[in-house]
Amino acid sequence: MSDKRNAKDTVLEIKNLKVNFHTYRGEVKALNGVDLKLCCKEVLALVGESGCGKSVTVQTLIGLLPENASVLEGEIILDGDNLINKTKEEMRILRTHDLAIVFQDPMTFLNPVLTIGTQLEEVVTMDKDLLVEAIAIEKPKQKLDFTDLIKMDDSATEPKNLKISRRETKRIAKRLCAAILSLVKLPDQERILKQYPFELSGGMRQRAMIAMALARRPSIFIADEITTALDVTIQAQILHLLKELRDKIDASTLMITHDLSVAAETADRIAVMYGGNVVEVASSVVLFRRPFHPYAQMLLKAIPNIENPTSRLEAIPGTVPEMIDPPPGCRFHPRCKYAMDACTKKRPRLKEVEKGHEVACYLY
Amino acid sequence: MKLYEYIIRRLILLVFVLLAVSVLIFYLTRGFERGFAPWAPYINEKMTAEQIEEVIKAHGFDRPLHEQYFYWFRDVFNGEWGLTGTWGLGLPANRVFFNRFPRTVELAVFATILTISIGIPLGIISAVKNNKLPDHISRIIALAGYSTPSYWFGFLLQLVFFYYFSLWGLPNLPSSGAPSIATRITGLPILDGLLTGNLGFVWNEFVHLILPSISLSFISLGFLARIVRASMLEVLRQDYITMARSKGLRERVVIYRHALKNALIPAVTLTGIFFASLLGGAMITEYVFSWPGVGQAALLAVGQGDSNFILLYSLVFATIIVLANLAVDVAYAFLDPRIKY
Repeated sequence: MSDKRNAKDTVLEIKNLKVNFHTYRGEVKALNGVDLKLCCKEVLALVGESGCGKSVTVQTLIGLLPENASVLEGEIILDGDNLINKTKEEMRILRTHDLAIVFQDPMTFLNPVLTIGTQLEEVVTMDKDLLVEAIAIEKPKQKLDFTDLIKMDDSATEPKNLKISRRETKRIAKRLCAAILSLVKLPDQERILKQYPFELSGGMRQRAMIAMALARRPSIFIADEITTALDVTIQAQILHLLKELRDKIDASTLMITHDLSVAAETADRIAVMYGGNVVEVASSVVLFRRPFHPYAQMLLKAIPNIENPTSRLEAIPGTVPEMIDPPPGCRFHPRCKYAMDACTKKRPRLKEVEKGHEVACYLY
Repeated sequence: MKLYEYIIRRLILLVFVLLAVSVLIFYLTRGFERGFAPWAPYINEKMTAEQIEEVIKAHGFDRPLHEQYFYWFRDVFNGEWGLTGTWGLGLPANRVFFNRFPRTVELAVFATILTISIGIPLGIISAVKNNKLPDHISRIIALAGYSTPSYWFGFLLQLVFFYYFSLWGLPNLPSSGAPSIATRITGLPILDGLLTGNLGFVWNEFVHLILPSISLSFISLGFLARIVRASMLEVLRQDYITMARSKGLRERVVIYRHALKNALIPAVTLTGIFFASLLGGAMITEYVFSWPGVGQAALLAVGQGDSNFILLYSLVFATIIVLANLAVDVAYAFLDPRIKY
């Protein structure tokens, strides 16, 4: 990103995104017109139950949908370009720099037979600007600070001399890798770079994966269920790290989670998804205090309350919709106690009912 | 346990394997009355019946089998493996074996290089272009490879590249045999030819190797391509491949750096065992192409029930198989850092 943005500017906009999967059992209508806006430097949490389309939304965004999926309609606007129309190679180049993602399970998403160093270095060496800038600011006998480099990514615009020898690339990449690992609070970087994923603990592996994403100095940082595979104390550490990093990394964060407490703790705004749609978007404070959509209301009632632990939790009646043959109209209507005639006919679109509070429901 | 401790343990086990193999083969080759007379190399037509009796007594061939085994064992310890039958001109078995062995090594190396350099790329192409035209072509080649009998394919090669090519007046490849060796330094004919600068010989030897190598590798490259395809498809579904793609790495890097190293483990097993079995000599192929290796010799020796040579051959072959398996296990540790011994 070359220009400075205001906090309220939209960096990424997803409009009416529809994605289908072709399976032997039929067409799975995974995304049914997703609308989503990501503002500059904010943390937006995308919450919803399994199978509601959170991950498909992200896969479409980074251009890595499985081969049996196709985008029917919709747009994904990033920096004025529609990502849906980009070629595979253009998407690949975007992933090297603008879009960085961290996945759920740090055990299976790191290559077991390559060292952390190899897997981090391959990211660093793809970005020639980064190498040149690192050489420019490095001082002998002093550790590189990666936050300085993140700041440079925004300001520097003039073309640089991009010729670096192979040996020089290797040397500066080593220093950069160590700097990035220390940014994610991993100690003893030299040793970790030489280690294989199985030699690290779950939390360390997740930090390493975050490091691989941050190394790209992304403008959009996507965290896909990054705490799900970790145990609770490690979860807390990783969330703490994310909070610390949020001012340093200069990126807008899209956070996918099915854990409402994680969303409440880290996000500025929350978007609730149900059955392939975004049904409600609000700031996290507002959403927890006054949810509008019946699904969101019932979802919040299903969270155990620590101050009143004996009361029986309320469950949402019915089951998750069948995505091959979903209910017509609003996909939540068979489970909704406020359902009206209109709900079964046409899908309600998101509309702003209060300032900054959008909901897709005919009640409002 | 350290890697070298593991290797030493496996080598100690090798001793027991060799003992067992020697007992088994000894009884199989000498334990039947109507088999080959083990004293045949020590007698000639001019000897009288009494003289023959004496020879049999002198060599202990009239003793019970287990005593004979200990005599044989003692002689082997002194480096005497006995004489070959008429097929080997009555020369000492070990001399015949080690004169021929380098030729088998050459053939095994060439065939293995061919197998790896064709089989692995075929498997990769198949997996990456799964269910598309390149995959179908590569699978047909693989299927043809492992369902073709090697002797038949050998004859076919001879027919086309020697017979028809010379009929049509095209430059043709020799159908059989090997050039005679000029000088011996290391024992390997091609290497010796290079060391002495005898390039004419090197070329001649190489040309003779082409058809038998192709014939041998055709079977195994089919198997290898299949294995690589299957394990590559499995690896390409893994999460870390998604991760590698999400980093924006080029597809080439994703496949060769992230996928291949994980997919190669089964291929290494197959290649190791294939190479080892080739070192034991491809009997039929060596026979079809009159290649003067140990496989051809073993076939001749078996035809005459020559226990001395068969025992030597079996023990060397057993050693090779055990060492090859060990080498494969050690290779695992380098391919997959999680494997520790």
